[in-house]
Amino acid sequence: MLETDFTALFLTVKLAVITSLLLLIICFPIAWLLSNYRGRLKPYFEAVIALPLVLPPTLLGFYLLVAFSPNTILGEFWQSLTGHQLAFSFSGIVLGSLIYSLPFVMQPLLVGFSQVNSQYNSAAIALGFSARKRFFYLLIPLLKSTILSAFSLGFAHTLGEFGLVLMIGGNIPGETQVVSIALYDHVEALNYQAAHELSLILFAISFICLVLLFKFNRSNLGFRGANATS
Amino acid sequence: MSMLYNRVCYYFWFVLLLNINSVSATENLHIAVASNFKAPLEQLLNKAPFADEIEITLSAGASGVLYSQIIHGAPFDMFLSADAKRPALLKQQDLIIKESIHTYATGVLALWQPELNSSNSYIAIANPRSSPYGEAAKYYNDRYLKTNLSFVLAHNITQAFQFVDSGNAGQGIVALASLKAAYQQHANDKYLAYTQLPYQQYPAITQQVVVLKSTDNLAAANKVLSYLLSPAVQSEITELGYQKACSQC
Repeated sequence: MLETDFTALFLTVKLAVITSLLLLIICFPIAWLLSNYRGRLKPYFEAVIALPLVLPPTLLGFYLLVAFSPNTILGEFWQSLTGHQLAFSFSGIVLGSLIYSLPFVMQPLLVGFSQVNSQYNSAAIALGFSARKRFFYLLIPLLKSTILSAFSLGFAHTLGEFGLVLMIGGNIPGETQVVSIALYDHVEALNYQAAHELSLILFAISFICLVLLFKFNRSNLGFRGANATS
Repeated sequence: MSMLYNRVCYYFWFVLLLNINSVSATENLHIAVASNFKAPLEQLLNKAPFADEIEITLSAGASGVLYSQIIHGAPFDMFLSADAKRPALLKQQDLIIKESIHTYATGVLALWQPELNSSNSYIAIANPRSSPYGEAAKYYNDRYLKTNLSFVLAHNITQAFQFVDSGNAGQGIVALASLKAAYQQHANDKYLAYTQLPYQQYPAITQQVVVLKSTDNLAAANKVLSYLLSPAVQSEITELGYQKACSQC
């Protein structure tokens, strides 16, 4: 395997970890608020969250590229803040992945919260637990498997990201050249041998990731099963 | 009962006529074309004398992807590649009709910098590993330009144009054809702020066309081929931002 492939692999894993961690932090309070919200606008909020699921990554990528340009408000703001520009940088593809993988982290959290909210929470309120106590002693332990599956879904989805990075990345090794791009490169350059090797590794990583995901989900299902019998 | 019989009869004739119709109507031709030549090709085919006789389907994509599809049996009749390498590889594998390789266009590079005093530190080129435009751009830079800006690699020459056009890269070595097409559409003066690079200072970007051996529509393919290579069409291609094809030089 080529050295650039290792760099690409490492970069991809780094991107996926950072993206899913950031998404957990962002989505946790939003999912909490949304699962408690009963207003008329709820379907609209849910639709906005699910949009990246439907929109093609090339479309997202194109508009991000336009938005990242130093001539726009976002681009200018970022440039004055950090001194770099967003397009062709690692921060740029992290920002893109945040949008792209958002539904995959948000969805499991929403489901988890609505389950916890329904029964256990009212029981705890009846028992006189404070909100803070409920959060740390009830919510977090109950949501452990949900958080893990939200993380691994976000991670897995970011691993396979292609169209978006292709549009905003600029194919810079060690910065924006993720595995999917490196693979595409090999195929384009007719270097099928390198493409096969890299695919095999990506295949193995994704498979392990998904096995772990379904393991977590199993315990999640167990939790739901117990919930149903109660 | 007779009504049902009538209806069945009617349906039978209908289907029969439909079939006859589709056999006698038009020839079908499926052309795979490199993305950077899709728009020009559409434009040229629309006013071709055979526009009504031959029904043409275009599949645009990166030449490398189209090439892999062809070697795995994609049902194309013709392939307009963005380079000469892939047609040569197809020939090696005996997948094309003999003597059907022709250069239909030769790419021209331009150094484009929309804003003269931009502080942007990026220069966009197509990926030299896969794109002949990128290869030529890199060759030119290594010998003549020697820029100290950082390179961003686009996956094809059109995207290199896009990177500069959106303002994310300060300059780019792009296809003259992209600039001309953009100027034609938007008439913005920034598309004129380029310098054409001298032909002798980079390897020729020959874009070649082949007719695939698997075709069932050889006659139609030949019609399209000779149309593309006719002097009138060739001079039109030149005007779109390409060099004259070498059989005509």
